[in-house]
Amino acid sequence: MPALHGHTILVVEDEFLIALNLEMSLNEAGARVRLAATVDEAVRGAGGEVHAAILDVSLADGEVFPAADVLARRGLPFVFHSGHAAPEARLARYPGARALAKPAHEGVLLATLEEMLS
Amino acid sequence: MTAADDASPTHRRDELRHAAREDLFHRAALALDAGDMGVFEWTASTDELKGDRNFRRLWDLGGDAPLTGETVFARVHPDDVDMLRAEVARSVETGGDYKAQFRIRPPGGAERWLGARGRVTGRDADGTPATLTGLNWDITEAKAQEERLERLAREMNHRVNNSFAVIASLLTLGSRTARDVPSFAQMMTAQIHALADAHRLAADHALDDSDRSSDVEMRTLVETALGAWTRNAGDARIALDVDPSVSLPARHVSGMAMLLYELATNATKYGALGDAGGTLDVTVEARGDGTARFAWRERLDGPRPPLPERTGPEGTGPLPSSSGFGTVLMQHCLSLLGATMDERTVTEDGFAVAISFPHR
Repeated sequence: MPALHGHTILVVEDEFLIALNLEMSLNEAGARVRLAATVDEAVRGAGGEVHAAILDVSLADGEVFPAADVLARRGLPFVFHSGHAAPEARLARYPGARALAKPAHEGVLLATLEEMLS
Repeated sequence: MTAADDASPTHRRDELRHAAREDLFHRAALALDAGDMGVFEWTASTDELKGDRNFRRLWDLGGDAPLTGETVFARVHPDDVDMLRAEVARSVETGGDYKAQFRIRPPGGAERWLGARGRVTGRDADGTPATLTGLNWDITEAKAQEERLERLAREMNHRVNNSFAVIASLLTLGSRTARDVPSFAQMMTAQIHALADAHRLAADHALDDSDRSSDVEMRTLVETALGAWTRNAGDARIALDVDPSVSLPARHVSGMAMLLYELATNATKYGALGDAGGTLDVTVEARGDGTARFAWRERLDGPRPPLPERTGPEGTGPLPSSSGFGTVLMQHCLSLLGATMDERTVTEDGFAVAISFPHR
């Protein structure tokens, strides 16, 4: 997966198993991973050295949108990975972002990131 | 008119008919009042609006000052007023019935929802609809209930999708690390049951009407999750001692269920619930500082089957785990619960785990 190789991906996910799984898949694709499980960590991560992000919307301490705002301001690509029924309406204010229903197939998630990075 | 005319059958019939009509009007008024229905009649050409006592009460329009359509439109929520005007206009233009639900904001009063129905009841000489008669009633409570159910459906949907994501992650991680297919299948089956139990308990509680409607009692959770083992304990002796005051918020329930199933699955393979037999004590006690201590203690009657010598990803040493990634699973549960591990001891004839977790 050449497009992901050498990139750092911010993974915002408060379910440990899902985060670990995404981390392993991204590592296998040659990407580095920065994990965040809270809104604060996500905002810090979004302002750091990352090239793209996967964002779970509903976190234990709130919703991920402040981090999405930071990424959008920096023009960095990101994918919402949300278990909510109709994310489209709430995500409409991030026209550059993609939204995948959770659980997204791992192959689809990685392909989406690759496409956004290339 | 003579006395004979007064008593004529025609007159008598009219009188009865009149009394019956009066009676019907009276009953209709009582029924409308009992249903808290406000009655109105609106004249399109003059904008004149007549409303009964209930109508004025619903709209907080006290006194008997003359009303107009504009008086009430001014009290409709700005987000709903265009829809309401359009609905009234449509009814007048087409002569069709009018039906609406909208919010009103009486000055100084609380916002509330009204339901409305009406129809064209009078026409001009040329047939143009001229008056609209209808009812208003308060639907605030029904709307609140509707919103609560919508929120609940969204939340449930979110939890189910999350559970599917956890199952998919377990499968993927397992396929990377597991060497023993039957053990892996056993672990997966247990975890799917754990998520199903957690979902069912959270769903049952979510339908309660209390404030903390989605909290789940720890005692119910432990009894449910370990039910399969307590009912078929065989030679094992299982004692559950769970503080009835300890509850978990809905989003922590799956973490605790997964932990219980993982521990019980392991105990079946290597511990007190297995061939060796033994005792299992599960205790949960509130500490009084918002945290509770969960302790799982096994004592085996006979020799323990050999533990698989595997090392967890964090280098935590040999794991008494069914799958080779018991540590990962444990960490997942601890992180979901916001818990810390106080103890994890494996001895020749015993196994113990204790964690501290925040509770309600």
